[in-house]
Amino acid sequence: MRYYWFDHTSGDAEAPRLDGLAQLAVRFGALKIDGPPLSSKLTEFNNTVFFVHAGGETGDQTNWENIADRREKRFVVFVSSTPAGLSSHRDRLDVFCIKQSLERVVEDLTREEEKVDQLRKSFEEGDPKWDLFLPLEWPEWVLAGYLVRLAQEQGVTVDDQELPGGRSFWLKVSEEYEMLASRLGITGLSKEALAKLLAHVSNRLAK
Amino acid sequence: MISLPVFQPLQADMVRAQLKHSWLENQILNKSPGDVVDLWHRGAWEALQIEFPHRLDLATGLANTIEEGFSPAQLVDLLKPFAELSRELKAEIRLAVHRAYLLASGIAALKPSLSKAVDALRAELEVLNSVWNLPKSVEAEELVRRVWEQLLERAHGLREILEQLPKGIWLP
Repeated sequence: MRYYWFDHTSGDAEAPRLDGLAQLAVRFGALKIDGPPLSSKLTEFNNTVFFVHAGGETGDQTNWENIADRREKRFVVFVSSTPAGLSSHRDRLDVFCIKQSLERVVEDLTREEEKVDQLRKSFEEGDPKWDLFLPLEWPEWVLAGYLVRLAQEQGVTVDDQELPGGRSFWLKVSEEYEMLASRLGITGLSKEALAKLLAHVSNRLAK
Repeated sequence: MISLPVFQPLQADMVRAQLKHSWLENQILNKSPGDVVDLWHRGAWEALQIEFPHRLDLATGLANTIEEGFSPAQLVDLLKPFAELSRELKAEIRLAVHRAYLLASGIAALKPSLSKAVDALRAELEVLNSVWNLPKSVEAEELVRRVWEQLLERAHGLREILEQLPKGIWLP
C-alpha cells in the first residue's frame, strides 16, 4: 500500500498545515500529493490510501470521493479542522471521515501503535477497519441520552428545557452518537438505538 | 441487559473482584487439605485470624448493598452532561433508572443466595478456628483436613455466586 496526504491549505509547503495531519502522515509514511489523480491515471494509484483535508479549487470533496474504489483498494480518509461538519458516508466502505478531533485521533494512534499496524493490514486486505481511527472514550452524552429515555419510559416527564443546554442537549447526544454510529448502521435516537451503540462501545472497551 | 465496564472505579465491582480473585481463588481455593494440614503443623496462620474475618465482613457488606452497587442510577451523579441538572430532576431520573434496573436485572434475587453463601463460609471458618489450636495429634490432623474439605465446598459456592454478579454497571 502507498499513502498520500493532501491539504488544500498547504500550498507549496512540504508539510500539511492542518493540525494533526502531519503526525497522521508520519504514522503512515504518507507523501504529499498535489490533488486528486486524473481519471486517466487512476490505475496507477490502486492500492493507495489518501488522507485528505479537502477544500479549495483542486481539493473539492467530491473529486476525492470519485476516485475512491474499494475493489481497486483506493481509499480516501477525510480530515478537517471542523470534523463535526464532515458527512458520514454511511453507504461507502472506501471513504471515511474522521469526525473527531484529529489531534486526539493521532494521540490515540501514537499511544496504541498496534492500531496503525491493524489499519495498514486492513487496507491491504481491502477491508478497512475504520473503527480503529476512533479513540475509545466514554460516550457520556449518549449515556446521558439513554438514561433520559429510560426515565421517560418509566413515566418521568422530562422537558427538553429542563435538560442542560435545553434543546442542544439532544444535539450533543446526536453529534457524539453520529461519530460512533456512522459505521454501525444505527439510526435515530430511540432508546433501542442508543442501547445498540452502547453495547458496541462496551464490547470494545472489554477487549 | 448491557454490562458496562465503568469509566470510574466502581466500589461494588472492586470488592467483588477482590473477594473472588485475591481471596477465594488465591488464598483458599488454591490450598488442598494437605497444604492446610502443613500450615497447621507449622503453627499460626495469620491470614486465618486477621484477614479472613475482614474479607467476610466485606462480603457481607457487598450482599447488603448489592442492589445499589451495580445500579446505573450512580451514573446520574457521574456523567458530566448531568452536572447542571436540577436536584429534583436528577432525583427523579435516578429513581426511575434504578427501578428499571431492578426489574430487568433480577439482582435482588441474588441477595439471599449471596448472604447464605457468606454465612456458610463464615460458619466453616469458625469451626476451623476452633480446631486450629487443638493439641497436635493424628485425630486433630484428620479433623483439620475434614473441616478444610468442607470449607473448600463453601468457598466454591461463594465463588459461583460472585461469578454471577455484574462486572461493572448493568444498563437495562
